[in-house]
Amino acid sequence: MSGNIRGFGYLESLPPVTFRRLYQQPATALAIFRRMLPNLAKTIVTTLLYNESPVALGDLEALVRPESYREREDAFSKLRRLHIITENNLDVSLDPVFKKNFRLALTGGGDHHSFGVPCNTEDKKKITVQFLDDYATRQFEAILHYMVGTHNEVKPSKGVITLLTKGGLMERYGAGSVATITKNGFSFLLQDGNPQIWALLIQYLEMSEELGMEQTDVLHFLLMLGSLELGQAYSVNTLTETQKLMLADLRDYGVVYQRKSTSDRFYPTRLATTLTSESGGLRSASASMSSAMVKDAEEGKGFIILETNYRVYAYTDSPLQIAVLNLFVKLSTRYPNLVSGRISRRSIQEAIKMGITADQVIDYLSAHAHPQMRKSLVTLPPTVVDQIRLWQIEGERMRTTTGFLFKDFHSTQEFEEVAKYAEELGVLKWKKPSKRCMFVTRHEQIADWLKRRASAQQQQQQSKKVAT
Amino acid sequence: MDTVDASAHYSQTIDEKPSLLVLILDTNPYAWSTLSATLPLERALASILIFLNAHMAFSHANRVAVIASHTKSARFLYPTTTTAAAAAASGGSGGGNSSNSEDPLRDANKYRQFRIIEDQVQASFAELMNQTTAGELVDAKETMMAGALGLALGYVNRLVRVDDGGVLGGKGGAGVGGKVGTTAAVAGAAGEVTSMNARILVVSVSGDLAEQYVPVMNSIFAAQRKKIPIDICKVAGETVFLQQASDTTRGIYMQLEHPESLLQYLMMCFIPDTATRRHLVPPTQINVDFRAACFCHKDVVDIGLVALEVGRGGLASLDVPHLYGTIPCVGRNPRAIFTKHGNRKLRKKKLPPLKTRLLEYLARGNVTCSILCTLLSANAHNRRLAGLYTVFCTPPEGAICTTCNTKLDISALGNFGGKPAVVLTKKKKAKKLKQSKATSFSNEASATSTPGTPAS
Amino acid sequence: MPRAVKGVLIECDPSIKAIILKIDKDSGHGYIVEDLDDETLVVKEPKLPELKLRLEKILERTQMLERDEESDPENPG
Repeated sequence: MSGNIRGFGYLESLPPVTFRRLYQQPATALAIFRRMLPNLAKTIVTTLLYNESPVALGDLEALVRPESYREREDAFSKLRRLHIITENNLDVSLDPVFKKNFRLALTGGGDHHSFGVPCNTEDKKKITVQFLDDYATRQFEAILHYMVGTHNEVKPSKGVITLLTKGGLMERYGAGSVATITKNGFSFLLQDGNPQIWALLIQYLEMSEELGMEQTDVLHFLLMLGSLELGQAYSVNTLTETQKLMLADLRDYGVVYQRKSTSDRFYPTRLATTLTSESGGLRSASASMSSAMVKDAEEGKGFIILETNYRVYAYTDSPLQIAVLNLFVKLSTRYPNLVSGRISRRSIQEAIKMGITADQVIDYLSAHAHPQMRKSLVTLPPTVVDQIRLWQIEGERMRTTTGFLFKDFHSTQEFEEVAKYAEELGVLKWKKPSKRCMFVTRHEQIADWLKRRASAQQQQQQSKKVAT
Repeated sequence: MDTVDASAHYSQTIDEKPSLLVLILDTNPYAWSTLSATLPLERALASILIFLNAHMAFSHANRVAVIASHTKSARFLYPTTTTAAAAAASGGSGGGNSSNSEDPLRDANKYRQFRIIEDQVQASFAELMNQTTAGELVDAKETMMAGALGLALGYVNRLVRVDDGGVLGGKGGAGVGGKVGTTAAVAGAAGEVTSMNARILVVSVSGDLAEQYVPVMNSIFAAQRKKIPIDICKVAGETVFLQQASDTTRGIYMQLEHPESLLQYLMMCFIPDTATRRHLVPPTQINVDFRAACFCHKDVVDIGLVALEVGRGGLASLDVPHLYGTIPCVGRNPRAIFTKHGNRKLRKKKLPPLKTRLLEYLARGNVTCSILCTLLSANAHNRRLAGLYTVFCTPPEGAICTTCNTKLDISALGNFGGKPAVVLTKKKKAKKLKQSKATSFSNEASATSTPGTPAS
Repeated sequence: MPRAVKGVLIECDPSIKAIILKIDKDSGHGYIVEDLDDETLVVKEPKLPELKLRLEKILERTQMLERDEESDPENPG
């Protein structure tokens, strides 16, 4: 957990009240639907959407193949946690607020303006998409450069630095000293573009309470940004006070552009419009943004070649990318358009000491692999990938898993049932029947299941009582 | 060392690839007017638009296309570049020079992507209807399904790119949707790595398409090859061949019992994309009508005469099962041509010659043709198209195959359960080898199978 | 209802486990939540990094870890 950067998962932990308020806006309902549900769950939602009466849970579950048990449970648990479905005695229906507003999103109409009001007057100074892309690149890279410590003309603003320190991405030892990057910060750097932006925005969301901003407003705005059109100016007049305040901060991250804080319009950048698309849609921000964000992100290319002899060749001249590579590759030569080096036990173990995991290294290499690498069935050579993991394990003499220890079962039968369920879900890590203890990675689904089981049993007992 | 096991590397899958949906809407006015009591066209169109929006809602990178299959033509409703549609699209775009004051508000209340699609579809549809003259409607009880399927396949081919390194993407699409880092795309069974899952959905209201049998079947095979499922939503009307379409391409076929609930059917059964369908129980029906239509008269036949043409060269390379997968001639009385003994004997041979494999497979495939003429022609039309076949309801004139002009041997016609007659064209020396093999084979078979005509 | 306790499951060799137990004892039993069997135990999540550090220190002292320089024929050092 210590190396985990809070991403979208944070949203799942919000209280039901927040969700109900969120679902009052069709744009938000649409954004949450799009970004936070697996496809199977989305299908369940559309099935229920135009159904007037509740459907039995058994019927819904029967739609899914028995072999895909895990996906089914995953879908249902997500739907429950996001409060999209309500259940009443095994009858399932969509949350009425969500239902109404999602329908509105699909059919259009209503008076909510939740998709952003475009400006219909012309701007004195034309803003082009290229300009927006450049702007976003400058701002975001400034943040990254600052984190890595490379020199850059543009420095991020104070607000941004506060965000970084509060989010655990950087730390300051003593007031007034320079902030340095932390382990979490490294993990953050190696992430893909979309999760990076979200990590910052979620941190912002958490801080918003302290800054006196209405959390739901913040969320509304963030999710609405995802549905805006690139290159289109939007009016500021329909935003709430909180949202107007947000504009200034979002400018610093390169998410929106506003000429002055008194401007009556703002422009979302590509970082905003791709907020609710999949992570692969936006190449990592640490890649040279100009190439990654050209046109429809079609031409973003990887640039790293990893050979089976552990040599690395990276076709780049961006100091940022080189700095990131330097974290886990022993770079030896630099040419005008290429750096080369080797991955070795030493280099990986140094990276691990800094808090970077083998998986992050592998994900980074994979995400930025040169097109040539993609031609083979597996992008990275499995030998190298395995060896990186092995080097990580060498430093670890023990295997750790965070999770929950379940104990105090009433009977062996109960233990076995729960163990079986946990296993089917894929969360069971370890169990000891003799001690009636088990260790699972996630407990929410099991807790839910236990509750439902207990209430079902109670009902059974009650009905028995009534009968006799 | 499970944590480091390399075998997992080879089974990476991306579940959430973006998906392309091409919707073919049968716009035959006759059929729709008959339906207007239960499901008027406007409501159907509205339901379809909502369904398209839902499809787009699934993912930022999803794409959609709409094709109208009209009485005598087929055309794109979206995306399209006709003047009406373009006006609709640009007229609605806010900002810039538009002085339409209600547009910004429309955009504010409707997701822009949805609005663009809806506007264009409606504008194009109106245009289509306006351009349909009364004259065209005379005797127009059919729909140009073949043309529509052709357009659809072409569009899919253009949009879905095979990975050639670099970021994959359809035109104007975002990159590969996938989890962080797992940008290694999955290789389909055909060995192709595609950027999107594509599927075709046909909303059909008209009846039989016997006249278009050949082009429709060709489209079906093309879709099967490219792994594009064809779903059929049969609102009304009887169609034989569309059932085969969904069955062959592994799509979903549904005959709507309650056409007024079109939207619910769409939102429940037809919305999941190819990847998600792996997890779902398919709602299709079972008894597929496998009848064919004869090539000479375009009549639907239960039992027909099949002239099969087999390419000459590269026997070992011809994919025999695929060859016969393309013969949809299953009728009411499937009967094996060979008895069990015959088959077993054949299987003992290591690599039976093509003809043998061909005939054996046909036997397993329940072909009920009363006769099977195998033409070994030196100049095969096209060696690749080794599955070329022609169906006749009655023997063609002069026993000349109308497709390739080779003489057919029809002397053994009328023998149910009889051995197929094998006709060899004389000339080439290499033929002698085959001839001897053929004779040896037929000798074997004749020993055990029902008495029939020996090969010539 | 069974109880769920949050923690970190550690699976390791018995020798490592013995060292962990010793660390725990020496620092006043602040780490371990539950001792499960010879090769497994559950420790408190916030204490995990500390535990790892201490374990590494002890291992460094008692083991000779080989740190061979990668022999790179082209680029020594």
